Amino acid sequence: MGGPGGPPGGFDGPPGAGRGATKGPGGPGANRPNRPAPDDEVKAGKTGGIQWFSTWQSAKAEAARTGRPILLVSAAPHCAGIPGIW
Amino acid sequence: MDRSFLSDQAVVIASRQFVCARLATYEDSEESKLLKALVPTRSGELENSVFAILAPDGVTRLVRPGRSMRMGYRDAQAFAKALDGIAAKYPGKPGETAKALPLAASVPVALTVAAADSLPLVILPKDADKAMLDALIKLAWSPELVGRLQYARAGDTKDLKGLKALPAEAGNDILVVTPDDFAQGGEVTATLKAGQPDSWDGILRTVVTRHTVQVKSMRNHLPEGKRKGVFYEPANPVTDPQEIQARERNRPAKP
Repeated sequence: MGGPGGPPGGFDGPPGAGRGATKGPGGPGANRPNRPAPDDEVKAGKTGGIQWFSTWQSAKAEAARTGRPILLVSAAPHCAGIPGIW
Repeated sequence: MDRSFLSDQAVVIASRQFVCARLATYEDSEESKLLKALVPTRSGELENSVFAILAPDGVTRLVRPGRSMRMGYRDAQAFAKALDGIAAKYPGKPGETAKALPLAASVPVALTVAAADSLPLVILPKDADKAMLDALIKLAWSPELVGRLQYARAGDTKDLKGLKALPAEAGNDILVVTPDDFAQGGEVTATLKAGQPDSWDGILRTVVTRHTVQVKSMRNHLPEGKRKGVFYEPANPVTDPQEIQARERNRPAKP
């Protein structure tokens, strides 16, 4: 389903098929600072999903260590009491 | 919730400049306090789904927090552009690369999250040492594997109950599990042998290549879950008024 930050390939279609699909060197991911890994991913056509930290403690520690800002969301991996869906 | 935003490739790419935290809403009391303080709600209680962007100090708000990024951005492209703008102001410390494994709080929570994401779950042994963690961290953030796996550390043997194809002598090996649809268990599909880290990359790449993302819909998943009698109790009480009502409709009758 993709979920909140789940991998492309489910609800939102395969990697590269979404609205943000990279169409070449000038596509998303080009010329952005401090981000060698994503460019490698794009070149390989292998962009996964967002890699989430699952606890606030670990995310906060990593942000302090790296100096990177924090994208924070919360969600319940259960809906109406039924597990396994966002 | 926001799946068309957060699964968008431009957003995923932009996210690599951030530390991304997705907290399970009702699993940790301290996290609940944080989330509740970020987004006041009409009910006065913590409601499911919170969105915020914070500075590296974890306190300073860089955008107005809300229930969803949809409230502030017209589409995923606009959101990705905003993320790039923020990242330009907070580029991070030079040369710092990921040195942490994004472990879930527990195997049961990780299994539920992995099922919801339809991702394989990597379960480290309880006694995973630094060498094992370091080797896995390097792989977890590699271009081929980043964002394609969930991670958790086993707490006790109870955590592994319900897993099919569990090796008789898993010992200190790492298990890769495909969760079942309702996170009631899963199947061990690969094992990373302790002491053989050179083999892990190839095994994990094979796992993610062969893994099929299950497309779930509320329309099918909820009635099927009710029919099977599965019901999830998070560690903390659900406080979202709408969700409380919805849960009661699916709560199995007491025998």
